[in-house]
Amino acid sequence: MSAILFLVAHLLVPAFGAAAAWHPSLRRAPLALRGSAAFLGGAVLLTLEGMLWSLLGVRWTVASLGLPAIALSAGLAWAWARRPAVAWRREACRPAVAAAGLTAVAAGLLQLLLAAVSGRAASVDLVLFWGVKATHWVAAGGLEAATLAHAFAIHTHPSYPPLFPTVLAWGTLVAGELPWLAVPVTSVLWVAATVPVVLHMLELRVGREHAVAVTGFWTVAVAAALVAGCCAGNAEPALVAYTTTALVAALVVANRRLGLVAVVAAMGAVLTKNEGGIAVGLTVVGLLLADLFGRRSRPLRGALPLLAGAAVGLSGWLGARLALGLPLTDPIRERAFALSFDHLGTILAAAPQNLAAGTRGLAWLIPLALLLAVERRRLVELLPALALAVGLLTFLGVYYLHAHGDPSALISWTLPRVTIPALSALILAAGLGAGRLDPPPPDQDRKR
Amino acid sequence: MRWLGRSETVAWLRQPWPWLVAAALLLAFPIRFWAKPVGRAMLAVPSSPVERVNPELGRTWRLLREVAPRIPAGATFTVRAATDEAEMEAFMVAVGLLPHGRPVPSSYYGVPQPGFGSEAEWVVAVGEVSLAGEGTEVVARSKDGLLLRRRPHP
Repeated sequence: MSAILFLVAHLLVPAFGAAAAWHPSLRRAPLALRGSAAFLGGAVLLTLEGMLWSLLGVRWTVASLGLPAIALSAGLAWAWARRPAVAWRREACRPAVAAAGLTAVAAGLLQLLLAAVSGRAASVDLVLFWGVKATHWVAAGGLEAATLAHAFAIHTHPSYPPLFPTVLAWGTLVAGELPWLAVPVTSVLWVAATVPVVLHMLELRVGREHAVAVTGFWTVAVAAALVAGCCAGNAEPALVAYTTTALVAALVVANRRLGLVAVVAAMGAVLTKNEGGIAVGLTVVGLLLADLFGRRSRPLRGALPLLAGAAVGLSGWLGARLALGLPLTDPIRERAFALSFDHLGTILAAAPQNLAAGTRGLAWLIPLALLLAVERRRLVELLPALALAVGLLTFLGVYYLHAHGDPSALISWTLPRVTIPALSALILAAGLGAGRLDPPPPDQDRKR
Repeated sequence: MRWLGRSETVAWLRQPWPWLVAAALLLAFPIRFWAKPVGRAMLAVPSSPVERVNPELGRTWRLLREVAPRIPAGATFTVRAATDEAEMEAFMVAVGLLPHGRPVPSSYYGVPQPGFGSEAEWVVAVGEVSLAGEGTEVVARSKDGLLLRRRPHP
């Protein structure tokens, strides 16, 4: 019973972010995309609210977390519903392509669901710290410092961003206890919420049929990588959801038309994992390079929503940690800039087997091969995705140079899962690059 | 960017079919796994969230889950295991399963913590661990370990 209530609690999260579905930029978008925006935005709002209540000393309960979030969302939805909505272009798709693409999406989600329910893709981090934080936050009625800031709690990584354990804590409050066996299943929700984002936002630039096909491949590849990386029950699926949404917003609508999506996605990324901040930063660097090479008239314009969202998320979490006495850094992590270049050979040797993504590397190799067939004119607009893919892999390579002793174990623990946002970015780059060149949305201006 | 890419995108790439065929190719891997006996054997719901990826940790989780209701809220508890690594992992799991208790480690990342774990009111022994002469009495037994209570100091 608690498992069912826990999953129902996750299905209530869109109510907290429902305002996003009534925002002028999304109100005429397909229903699935509006639902995704509500879910992703709802989790962000829940996290911000949880931090605020902890700072104010308001105890977390179903009512104290749920009712204000719903009230705020309803108020915003009412205000936004009065503003004129932006048109959303829809086009036809051959039934055979639609059926094949949706079958691929369903099969991709099914493989993740099977692996989550069976425990084949379970993350041990769930029982070691993600779930641990959620149960303590529920017991303490908020972000808890008494136990988790203790010297014998550094294994819980108290400085890690709070979004994922906050959502677990919300589910625990509704269910009455944390149903540990049900937590891995929620990984499917994060991927399922990202599917409409990829499909409908990619559709704006490459057309319906191509977007359906790319989304099918994206779902199968990302789900296989999440299974191979044993990510069911950890924060990786949520991180992939937010980093992918931020990237799609940057790639497809590098303008203010979908600024809200970019703001929320960037906020969600930095509030989910520290790697989220790196991913958003790399996306911004790619946008700036695209502005530079593409000679856009208003550089920074596309990057501003991402920067704003990341800044709010990071400063909020930093402020909460300072006020609550939680650690600002992770003492378990390696000392910065203490590099050992002796590890280079081990890193290069271990990378291929840890990037197999459950598909013998085909999930990476196929989009990489397709990118080679893309005309160079298109590569400039793909720079945000390429910067994220290449930059994240480079960052990890440098990180492994910091390892104490043999980095093999560290690589096998982290590389298969931490690289999934890069895999997602590579697929989106190839998908966007290979698609037909549609005119950009109306307010995306360039110097010609 | 002149040194990168082609002058024109390959025409067939603009079609949806290459992507759909590639998706089908990737799906062959999970289909192959779940069709094998090892995959079919995994279709039953596990009794611990991590037993399929780390059977030893799965057993530890089951033991701690079983004994957790017997440890009163606010009581200090520790865990003991045969190896430093197993003891650390068991401690990490115990902190999550006993959010109302007060965790005190016997060792932390392999470093013994005298004066902490040795003073805990409750001890969970994971697997075969000798606690002879430590002034404890067995409260509950399971196939994966024991729950013990420390006798008050005279």
